[in-house]
Amino acid sequence: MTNGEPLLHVRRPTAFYQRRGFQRWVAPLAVVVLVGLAVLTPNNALLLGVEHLMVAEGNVGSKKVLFNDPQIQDRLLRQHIQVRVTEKGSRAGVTSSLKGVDFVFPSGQPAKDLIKGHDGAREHPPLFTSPIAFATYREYVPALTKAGVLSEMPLARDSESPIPRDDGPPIFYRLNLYRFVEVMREETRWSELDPTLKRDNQILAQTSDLCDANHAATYLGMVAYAENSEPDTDGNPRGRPVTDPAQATAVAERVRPIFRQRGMAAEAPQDLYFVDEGRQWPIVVLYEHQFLSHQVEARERSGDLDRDRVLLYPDPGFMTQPIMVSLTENGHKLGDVLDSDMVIHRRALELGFRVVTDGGLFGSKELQRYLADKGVPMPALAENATTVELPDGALLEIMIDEVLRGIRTCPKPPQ
Amino acid sequence: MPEAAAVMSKVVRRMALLSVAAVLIAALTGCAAGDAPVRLRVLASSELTDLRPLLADLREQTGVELVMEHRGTIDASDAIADGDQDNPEFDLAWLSSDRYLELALRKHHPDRPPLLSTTIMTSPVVVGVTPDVADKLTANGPDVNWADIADLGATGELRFAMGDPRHSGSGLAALVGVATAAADTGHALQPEDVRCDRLAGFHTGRKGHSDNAADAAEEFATSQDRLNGLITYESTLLTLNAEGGLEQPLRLIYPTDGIVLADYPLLLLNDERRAAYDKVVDWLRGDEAQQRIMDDTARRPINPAIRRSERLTSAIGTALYYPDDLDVITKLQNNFHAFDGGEPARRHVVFVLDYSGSMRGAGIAGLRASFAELTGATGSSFVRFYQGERFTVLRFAGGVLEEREFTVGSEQDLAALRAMIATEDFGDTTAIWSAVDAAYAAGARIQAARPGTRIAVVLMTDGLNNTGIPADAFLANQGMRGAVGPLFPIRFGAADPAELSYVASRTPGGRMVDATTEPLTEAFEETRGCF
Repeated sequence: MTNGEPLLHVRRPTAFYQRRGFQRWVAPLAVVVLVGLAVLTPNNALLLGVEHLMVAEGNVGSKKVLFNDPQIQDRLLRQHIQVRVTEKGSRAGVTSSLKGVDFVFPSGQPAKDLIKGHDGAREHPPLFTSPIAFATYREYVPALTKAGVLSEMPLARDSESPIPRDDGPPIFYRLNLYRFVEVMREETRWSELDPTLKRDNQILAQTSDLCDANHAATYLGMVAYAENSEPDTDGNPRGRPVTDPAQATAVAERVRPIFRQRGMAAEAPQDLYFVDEGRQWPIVVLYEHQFLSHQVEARERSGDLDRDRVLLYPDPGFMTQPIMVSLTENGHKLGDVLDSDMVIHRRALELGFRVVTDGGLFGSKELQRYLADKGVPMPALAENATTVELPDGALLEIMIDEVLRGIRTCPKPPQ
Repeated sequence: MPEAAAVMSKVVRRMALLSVAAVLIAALTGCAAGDAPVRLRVLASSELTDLRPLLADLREQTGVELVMEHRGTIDASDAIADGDQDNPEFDLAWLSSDRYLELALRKHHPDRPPLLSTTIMTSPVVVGVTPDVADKLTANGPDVNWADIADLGATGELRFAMGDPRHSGSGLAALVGVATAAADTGHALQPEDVRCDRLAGFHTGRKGHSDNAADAAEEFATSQDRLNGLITYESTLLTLNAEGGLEQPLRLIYPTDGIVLADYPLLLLNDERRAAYDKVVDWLRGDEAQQRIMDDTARRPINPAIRRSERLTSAIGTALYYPDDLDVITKLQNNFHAFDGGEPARRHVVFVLDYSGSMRGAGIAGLRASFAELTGATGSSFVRFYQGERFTVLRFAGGVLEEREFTVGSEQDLAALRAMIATEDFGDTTAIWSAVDAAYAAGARIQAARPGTRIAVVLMTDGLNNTGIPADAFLANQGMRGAVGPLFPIRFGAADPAELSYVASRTPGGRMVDATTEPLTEAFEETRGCF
């Protein structure tokens, strides 16, 4: 041991990070907070505050596109609503168990009818419409034109916005529904109309399952309407809806091959249509909004329309009207927001819907302008265009049962 | 300064410890929000073993682990349909297609709503062949259809492996494809379309014995000396080619008359696992996973944002209309089973051909044209004679003129047949029932010599019976002989439809085919395989 004069160490002033207080309390706390933030921030909920998020569970069909849209999701989150959807097909969504389901959003009347009388269900006013249509690919147009099924579709004109410059072949056509049904009834094959197609399959429009999807049931209603036609004073066919069970059964039996000859329904044909593999089905039934939003995306992505894909508007046609039906308190809250939120309505327009609420603020004219801005033409739907009259719900169910007779029966709504 | 350093290191250590603690706390609170590791039991198709690396990343990024049990798709579907629907053995199913499962569920549990099902990726069922076979198939142009495939199978030039349609999704898809093409109706197979089995040629070509897709691929890879084709998913073929283990890379044939696209749905069997299911689906359909699926397993992505790699841009062509009647599927599988085991000699047709004077000219020309089709002289056909097939040809006029038995082995056998048919040795009278009686006697002898052989007698005549025994005598002889098999009279010219029809109906499964309203070759085709 060395004894000597005590050494006086001049202590440098302690840096803040060396102070005991800091090391014991502040630093650890800071670390916890920083790391915690880093982990939790990706969850939007934190950014909105710790307020409780209301979750609404819903069964939806093709209108899933609304609830999967990031902008609409964001808009709802800002109002503390998080929507979780199950994609089931509009009819399946209302015929399966509704336990834990806050709302259903069937794509149209046939599906909506199934939910009538459900305790506490509240039907909301229609937000938008979208015409039902047939989608095909460019190479099938000559065959269908030759058969007298297709004709030119006029484009919407508006003095305020010019029709976008369009040099290529049209992407919209008018489809003569009576002639189309006739072609299918005659069991015409593609190769008969156009040998270059090398397709020996019968010409049939593909849909999702008749028990599950609104567009399939609507298609049946339209085919029945055309099949049940009688000639008018000029000798042209004029369709009629069926009006009693006996007639429903008889007409359904006549059109059954058009559905049964397809065998099993396609898997998600409306999604598949827009990728390469969709080409396996020459014609599918879908909604205008799906096609329009695809064309907007195509323009944005490649600078041109997707001219390979073509939309056929049936004449007589049908405007489907998706309806929000809320079943619980959470559902009602969501429904109220959807009813009134103009940001969401505007976004729906951008997704290709013809918005009917807000006194026509986002109606067809506005859709046309939006599409014109994006360089996408829009077809002109005449004000007095003939519309298919669908049979009432009970008769449509009879027709569906008759078409599927001997093979299966659809699951019925839970009692 | 050592002291400062020591103090610093203590600070750093403490910070590190606390960081770890903080992360753990955050992770735990994150867990409480639903990120707890989850194990799901998944029943999966056999070929999905190639997803193992991807599933490791799924587990890492979402916390959900998929524990996969692999089986042939049809086997898996049967297990699900037969199982307890409220207490399923598995949480999820990931099958190449849920069409068969859906049909089975509709039959066994008709009141239950459909299972939640989301497509993850797709791959068409196609035909992979060695370059020499591909050249044969495309000799007349780039388009190859199922008849061409069946044709080469019949001659023995195409020898392929394929999953067993009773166990394998790819095997069933191929069988549906070729059967739908053979029926040539342009729509989905109905039960009456499967009445006549025109698939003998196709079945002859299947030389592999594997149950499911994964085994069939392996069987092909290890038997390249005797097999030159593999019918399976496009992804399996592309992967085999890319791995470089094959002697020659296989060429992929997409039959133009229709293919079946497997769309690999992920199915929720256990409703309580919904949250984890949603997480898995979101991840698998996300950009990163879809890109990996495409690059690593050669399947086509479902996400439209992914740009396709070159090898996945082949047009798949038209889809088949897939049968919606489980009975049709069962019939196809049973037909296949009857042919399985590679014993073509199980079936034996006796052709009874009218060589009376009236046949000179148009009659014999039509008959020769029909046989030309059967010997493969007129192009691809589902009805041609297949390798190993045995049949008897009996010519008659006032009595039996000639009777010969054939076994299809080589071109020489077919040449001998053509020579026999080409003869100008006609007679004056027509002894239909004596000839048919002789044919059945021959058939009975064959059945005695080769038990289990199914006999059919195809009669082609244009006239009336004017010598030999009458129809009643023939039927009386049948009474003593036993049933033996169906009679298919093909009637043309002045033949009596009433008598022919009546006698045919007295044989099991027999019926008259009227060739006065359609070409003789088509009438002939109608009977081919109809027993």
